[in-house]
Amino acid sequence: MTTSPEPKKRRFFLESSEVESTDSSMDIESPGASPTWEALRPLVLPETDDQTLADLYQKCNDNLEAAANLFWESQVTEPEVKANVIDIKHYSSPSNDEEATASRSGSYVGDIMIIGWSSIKGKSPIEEGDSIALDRVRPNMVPTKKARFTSKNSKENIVVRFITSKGVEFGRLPSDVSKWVSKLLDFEVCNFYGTVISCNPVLSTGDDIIVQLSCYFTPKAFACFDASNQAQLSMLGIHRSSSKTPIFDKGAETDSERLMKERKVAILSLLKALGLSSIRSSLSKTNEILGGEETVRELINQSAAQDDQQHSSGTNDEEGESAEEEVKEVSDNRLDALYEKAQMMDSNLDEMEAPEDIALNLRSYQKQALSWMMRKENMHNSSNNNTGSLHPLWEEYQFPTDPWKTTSIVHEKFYMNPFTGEMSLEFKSAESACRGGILADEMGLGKTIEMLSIVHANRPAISKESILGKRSPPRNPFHPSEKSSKLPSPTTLIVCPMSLLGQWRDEFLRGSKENTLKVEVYYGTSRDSSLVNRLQSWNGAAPDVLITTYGTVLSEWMSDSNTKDLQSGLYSVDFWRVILDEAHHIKNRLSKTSKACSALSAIRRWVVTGTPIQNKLDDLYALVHFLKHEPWSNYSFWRAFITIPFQNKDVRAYDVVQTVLEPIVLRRTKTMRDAQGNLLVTLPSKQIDIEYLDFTPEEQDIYNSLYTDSKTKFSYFCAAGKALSNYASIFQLLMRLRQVSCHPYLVVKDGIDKEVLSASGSVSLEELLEKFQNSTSLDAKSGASPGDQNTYGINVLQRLKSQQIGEEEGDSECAICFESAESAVLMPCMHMACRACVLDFLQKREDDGLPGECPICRHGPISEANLLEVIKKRRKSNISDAVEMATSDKKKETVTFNLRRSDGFKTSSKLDALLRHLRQTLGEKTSTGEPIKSVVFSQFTKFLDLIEVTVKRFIMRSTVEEKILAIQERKSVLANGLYSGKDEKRTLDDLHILFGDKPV
Amino acid sequence: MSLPKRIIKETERLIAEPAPGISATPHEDNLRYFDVIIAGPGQSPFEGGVFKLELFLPEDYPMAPPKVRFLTKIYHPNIDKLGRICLDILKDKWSPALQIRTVLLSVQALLSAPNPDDPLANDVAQHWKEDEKDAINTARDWTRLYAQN
Repeated sequence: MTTSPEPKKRRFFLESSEVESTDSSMDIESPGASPTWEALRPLVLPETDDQTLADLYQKCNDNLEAAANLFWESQVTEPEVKANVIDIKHYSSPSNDEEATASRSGSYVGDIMIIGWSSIKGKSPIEEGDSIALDRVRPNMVPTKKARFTSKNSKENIVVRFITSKGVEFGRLPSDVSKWVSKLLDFEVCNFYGTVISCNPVLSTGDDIIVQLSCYFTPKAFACFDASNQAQLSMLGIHRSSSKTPIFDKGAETDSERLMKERKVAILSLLKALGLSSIRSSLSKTNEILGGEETVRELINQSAAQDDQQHSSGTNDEEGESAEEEVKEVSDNRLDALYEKAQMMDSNLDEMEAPEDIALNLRSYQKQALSWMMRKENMHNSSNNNTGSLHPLWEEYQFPTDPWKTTSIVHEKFYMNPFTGEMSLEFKSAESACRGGILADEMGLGKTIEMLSIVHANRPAISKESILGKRSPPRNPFHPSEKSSKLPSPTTLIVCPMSLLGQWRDEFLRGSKENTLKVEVYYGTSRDSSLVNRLQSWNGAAPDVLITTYGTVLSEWMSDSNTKDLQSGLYSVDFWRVILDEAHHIKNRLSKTSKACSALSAIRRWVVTGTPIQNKLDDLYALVHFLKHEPWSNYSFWRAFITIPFQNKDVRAYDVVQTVLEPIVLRRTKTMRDAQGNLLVTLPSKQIDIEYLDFTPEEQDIYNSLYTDSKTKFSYFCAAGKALSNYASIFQLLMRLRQVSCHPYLVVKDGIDKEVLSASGSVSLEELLEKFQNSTSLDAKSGASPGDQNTYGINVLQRLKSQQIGEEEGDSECAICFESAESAVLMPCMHMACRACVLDFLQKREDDGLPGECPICRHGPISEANLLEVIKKRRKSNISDAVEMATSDKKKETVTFNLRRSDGFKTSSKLDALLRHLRQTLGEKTSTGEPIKSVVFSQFTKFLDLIEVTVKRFIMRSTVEEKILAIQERKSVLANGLYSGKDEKRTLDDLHILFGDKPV
Repeated sequence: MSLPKRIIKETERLIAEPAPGISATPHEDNLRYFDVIIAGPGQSPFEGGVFKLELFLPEDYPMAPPKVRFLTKIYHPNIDKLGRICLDILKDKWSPALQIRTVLLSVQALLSAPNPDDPLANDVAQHWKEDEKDAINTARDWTRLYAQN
């Protein structure tokens, strides 16, 4: 092993460059006094004494080549090679010699012979045996400002120059070599120390110079390459200009990924040139899938080559881009096929009885899911200490013996990951496969419940763990720098969209028997700083489940990543389990959310989503990356096997994805059947009722004018021949028509509903009271007896206030309908009446052509906009009411009044129809006695806002409607209809509004 | 047609606490139709008389004013031969905040204070303006004649 690569190399040199070497050496040596065998000296070990050389030379009949070969063959049997340099010049002066060798740093990996070419004319500044250095003019040093502009599309600077020890340039590496040598120098992966083997005494440009390069890996080579490091980037002269591409093509690589790739390709080239091959590699596993190690390498190189092509072709690409984009989309049929393999075994899964603490009855397929998840989580528990097997992505290499012994050999082996180009001196043991997976059941199958069951079923044994002491969390081979100081926690972290926060909590509490599960929410103001400490405690203080949002994770990650180490908040803990709900949120691997989630530390990692692949295969990558499902969580690996083949319309990509998915995905659809051939879920038949509504005359007017307007614009586009290029605007026109059908506010009064919905419309009671008191003395302008009026106003307000703090009972009665004013308005004169009554009256006045006025005191004119709404909220007493509570402890509830500017809110035909339906189902019960739940959908969130206001104003009285609102709030984001409880039929009217009714 | 809550409440209150000198009773077959009796106010030419009126609450009450008409003949510048009443709150000055009770009180007040400047029965108004004393006597006669059985 010790010298086997070397003789081979030397022989290679001699065979290939036999003519030059003999010629040149003879030429140089003959004028001097040296005997001819001296020509042999540069070809053999420098310490070889003259006599040996002379003997050798004679033995081979003055044949230089044969002599050299003979020498090296004999050397194989004499391993005790003494450290030195091939340097005739310094040979005589030992002090210089040591200096030269001492300056060499790094780990020796071998020598290569390179034929460079001379860049100078005239007498050679070097002789054979001279040590030379490689000089790399870094790209960012060269260009002047002007050059940078012009050189944007020009070829990358890969020039590597030879310089003498005095710093004089005399030659260059050939481009095929300098291509990767330059990268190695740039990335400071490798140090090169050259020795001139052969060189003409008088050089002309382009003359061959034969150089031996000794390669030493720098310590940096084995460090974690951090391509996101800004300093490093600027050092490499990377201009951020190219960062715009990923926005359009997410399959493209980021800057950092490109750098990683360049580094990787360079290292691979070096190893190839050195003839080093791995002594151990576990690629065989993946090779089974793809056949042959060569294929793996080829694919990597292909992908690299293709990228280069793309880079060089530059702007011309853009036309083809849209077509390419289409191909990248995955059709539904394809998707189904992808899941097929993963689904094949599903119906045969064992069922596992639900844990006792669950208060719900699991369906049989949910029990199957539980057993599957248990198996995934407990995988490799026993075989955790198998240090023997190498990580599937890493290859083991042996350091060749350094003939010069310049560096103390500390390590005998090094490890390289051919997919990332990462190198390490430490053994990379096979990481046990990811504990967790993708739960991708179709919506409505109860993923939340399944997750709940696993939370219950596989709980940390708290007492046991605390006795055993700290468990060392598994290290991640891809983040060697990751500190293992994170403390293990028995908590399950659930990350979900904000809108689902409450639902997860409620579902978990509802689904568990009392006091068996401690659920906490980590979000916004409820973030508790002491929580982090509690998370790490194993004595039961930590919550079993901690629910947080993507936003929270992101913000913690952002603040943490500034300090460069993820050590605070959620990131200081190694969770028992982390679950990502609606995980397609992280489908873009470049998004910060995606990165933040992947950075979470946990032993068990689950992904819950109904759509693991939304449009592109790459969507899946982010999930796989989060799961740390080796080897696929490595992007270059993924890119080489999936993205690139897929872009090339290679069907194999699908096979690969299937292979990736099979072990980690559990997906069932509603149409699947269990072992007995029954449908997994039996739903009552769906009933779709479409109700056609007529516009009111006003709505018709608005619609007509908008329609005419749209028509004109469309005709204009057509006439100008720009219909196709303006299709977005045309869609917008159509959308506006659809919106106006929902409610004119959506398109007409842009400002008004903002005011309706915003809190800024609210007026503080105290403020108003104060204003009134202040103006009492000043106000003399308005009609009859302003003083009295203001006194009255103050009285009204004070009465409201006293009701608010609970001193006075009883509601004020509307003067018009004689009912207690639930949704009352205050007129400017402070008279109060029902909102509806006042509006009716004002409408009537308007119809009669009269100005609006207060129905009670005739103070006017007033309009809808002058009205102040009194919004009464009953609420439980809280701390601020504690004082009042003490005096009137009988009262349990207090009433708050909020005043809000009225806005002339009007419903639309659709809203009216919706209200009618909701009122109909109000109070009705299903056969099981549960109240009916209704879910309202709309494509327009703005319309949902309007619906919310409407529902609140017109039917919100009992808790049923409040429930509707709560559900609506949570579910409105998920317009794709997550709601699919047990027994409901659906009615869908032309509003895109779904009413859920339960049939008897 | 169900009766609005307001009408029910008003009726209840009218019966529970009637205004002095006024009574209003709904018809059993039509709760929107009231038989009203107003006693002639003291110190007026109608003193001692008992006047029958009919009051009808239209469909859009209380947005529209009630319809009120004297059934008993009365000599008054603001009330015509058919018993129709000229009173602003029964027309353009109506407000939904007004009630049957307030309307009837207004009518009662109108009896106390005839307003010949805004006449409905022109001849009576003329009479009132030219010779108020004689007009008041005629009113007394009429009250005795028609409103005292």
